[in-house]
Amino acid sequence: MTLENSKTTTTLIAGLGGQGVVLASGVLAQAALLAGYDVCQSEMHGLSQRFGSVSCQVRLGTGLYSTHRGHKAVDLLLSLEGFEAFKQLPFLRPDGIALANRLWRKPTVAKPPTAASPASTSSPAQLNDPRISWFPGTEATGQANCPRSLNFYMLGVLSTRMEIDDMYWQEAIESSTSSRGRNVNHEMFATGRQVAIRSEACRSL
Amino acid sequence: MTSSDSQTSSPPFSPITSKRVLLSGNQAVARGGYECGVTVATSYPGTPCTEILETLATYDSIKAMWSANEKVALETALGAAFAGARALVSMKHVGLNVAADPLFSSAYTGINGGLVIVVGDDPSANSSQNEQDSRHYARAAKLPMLEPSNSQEIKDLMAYAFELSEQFDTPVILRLTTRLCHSKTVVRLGTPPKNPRGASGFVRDFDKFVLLPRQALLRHSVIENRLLALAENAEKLPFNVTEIRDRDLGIVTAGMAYNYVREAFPDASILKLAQTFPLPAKLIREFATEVNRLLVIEELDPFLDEQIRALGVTVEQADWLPRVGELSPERIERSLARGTPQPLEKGDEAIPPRAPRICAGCQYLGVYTAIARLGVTVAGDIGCYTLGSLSPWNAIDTVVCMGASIGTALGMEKALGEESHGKVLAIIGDGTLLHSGLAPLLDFVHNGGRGTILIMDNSTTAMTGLQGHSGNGKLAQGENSAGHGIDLEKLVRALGVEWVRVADPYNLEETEAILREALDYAGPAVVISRAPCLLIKPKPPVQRAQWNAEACTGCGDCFEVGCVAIEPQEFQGRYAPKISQDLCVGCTLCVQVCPEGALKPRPVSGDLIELGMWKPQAQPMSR
Repeated sequence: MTLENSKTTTTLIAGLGGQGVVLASGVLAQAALLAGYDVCQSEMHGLSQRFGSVSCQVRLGTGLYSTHRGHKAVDLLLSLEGFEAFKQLPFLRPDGIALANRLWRKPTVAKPPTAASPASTSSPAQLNDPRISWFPGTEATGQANCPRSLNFYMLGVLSTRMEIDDMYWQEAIESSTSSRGRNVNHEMFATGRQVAIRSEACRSL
Repeated sequence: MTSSDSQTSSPPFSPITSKRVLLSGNQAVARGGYECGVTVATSYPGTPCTEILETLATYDSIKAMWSANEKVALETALGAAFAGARALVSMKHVGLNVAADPLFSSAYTGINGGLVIVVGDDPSANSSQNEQDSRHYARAAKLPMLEPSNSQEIKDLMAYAFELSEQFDTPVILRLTTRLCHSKTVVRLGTPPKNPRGASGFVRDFDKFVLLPRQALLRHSVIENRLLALAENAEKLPFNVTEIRDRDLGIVTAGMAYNYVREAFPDASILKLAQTFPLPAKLIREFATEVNRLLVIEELDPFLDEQIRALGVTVEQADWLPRVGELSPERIERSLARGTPQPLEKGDEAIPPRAPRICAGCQYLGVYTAIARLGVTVAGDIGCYTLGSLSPWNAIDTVVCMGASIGTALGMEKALGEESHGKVLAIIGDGTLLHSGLAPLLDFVHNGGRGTILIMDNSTTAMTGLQGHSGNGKLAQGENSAGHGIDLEKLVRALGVEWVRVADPYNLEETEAILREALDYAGPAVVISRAPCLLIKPKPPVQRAQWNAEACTGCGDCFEVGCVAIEPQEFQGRYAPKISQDLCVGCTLCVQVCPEGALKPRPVSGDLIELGMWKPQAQPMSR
């Protein structure tokens, strides 16, 4: 499903501090701007340094006013980590799409859990939410020895759901990263895109 | 103040290269100031406004300064405006409380050049100690206030604010909110003035600039007349927009709330106010006659609501509108539908939250591990070290506002009397001490305080993104100041403290011993715990802690350090530490607390580091 018929598309990008969530949403916003959309971008990261939760919303289309939407109003959820995907699900439309990287980083605790604390080690019910598709971003970027390009891999996955021409994505990636990491970011974007196209093709068989 | 916005400090895209660009609200304030010829800009860092001055500091034509605190920032900007320049001062909402004294007086003195005061409120208290609505300041100080609703309007209103300021000889407040500051929307860039206008020069005007009682009274009537003129002027202000759609429902709104209203009530007629003090009464009355029902929707307090009712306009009761926490289109819709304020829209609370943690290997870990052993009451302050109030240390008992630790400790000591000696400790960071802790320290000594003050010196303003201050000697542009940073020991001694010791927070035993000695000392004592913030120049660790299963008894002492690199893992029916190799910096604090020698530092080899990832029992399949 693509969302070209909607008047606006709201994407929520979530992840952990240090994963490049803000940068990824900036690239999406810039690509959409280059493609001629009206765009707005909103970020919330409170006390997020060192693996805290970070989330950004990017909205594009016509008639944009609010830079963020509330529960059940987000069209696309892109998450760079599993628990963050689950956490943001209340914001996703009942018929929305979630694209998540298969990485689990358990929220850290300072002291051992007591009997009273919730059993966080059991599998959350959200694992079976049919709206979520999982992608091996951490594995792929790990194998390519560029774990920091995970955000670009996942943007590649996201790109298959957006009506934005590839040349605008390329230009946005070009302008957003330093020359040192640029090639590998382009590469990981392409890898993520291919994986998403392939998995979509498998599903429609 | 309390925030961690270092991630957002650099704009990912150059704002000069294209005409239509995405700018955050903060960047739009800076760009607006630049385009209309601001030459002096001041601020004190604090979410949501930190990036305003950080962006201003990148323009060569602007003298941008981090001030000691918001009061100094406003006074400096006011001085620049007295001298005939266009000056811009920005701060977070609670910063305006610090600057309230010159704020009220600036309404009386008026200015000479232009002065815009930007204040960022924080609905939802994302990174603040309160959720105040700073619009009340406009009314209390009798200053005009403008509220933009997106980045383009911010830039446009910046230009208008300076015109208004100069035309009416008054500072103008531009009120933003966190969402507005941190949202990026499309802006069309204008051209900055080729030669920014310099200061026109200061001209002595005794009855205006010298606020003696007689002059103050004279100036008060000037202000009252000015407010009437400003309200009249607002009637024809093009930024106050009436949008007539369905006439059944009309909504008066302003700022970010306009965007929510526009999406939640797409068919309603709207009066969007850009000037929210003083209000254009005729415009509002006219709008009210155009619609059958009139609602006022605004974030936080019923500031417009009460003023509009006071005009005699019939406003529908909106008890359902949330007054706590940020709004969204959906929250407004649901609150209206259910007839009662709906809670803030959060993520799934069944997923364990990621509580803010002190960085692995931070000096505070050592200090708080030591303090947790002392059994003292601790008056805390604002900074990264506020996290010491959390588990496992529970080492801070009060947090009030910037600089409050020393005064509250003195008050406790005086109330509790002799038996409190050695039982009360004040904790304050170097940045906070320099912001608003010096006068309290002076007072502590003067009024016979006998307790201990612990200064946590990490040589920076860590929580807001490592800004320079007079202690580290760094200017807003990153260069060294003429003073090269002040010497805290000398400063503290000059304020009258005789007992001053410096502790190495990575030496637990020593830190604890010095703190005990200080608490026992008969007079006021200052301990400076000194180690630079690890974020200033992170170096790859040369060693990391290693856990030895054979020596470990599962006693759990290592968890008392509270290090984010130490995670509890089940081990023979108890809990043992799992050292995260990608987080551990080799500080050895956990090694020092382990009674069994089961934790030892190990030199870093060239081997690949494995990430400590947790997998749920059922692995989801890619579809």
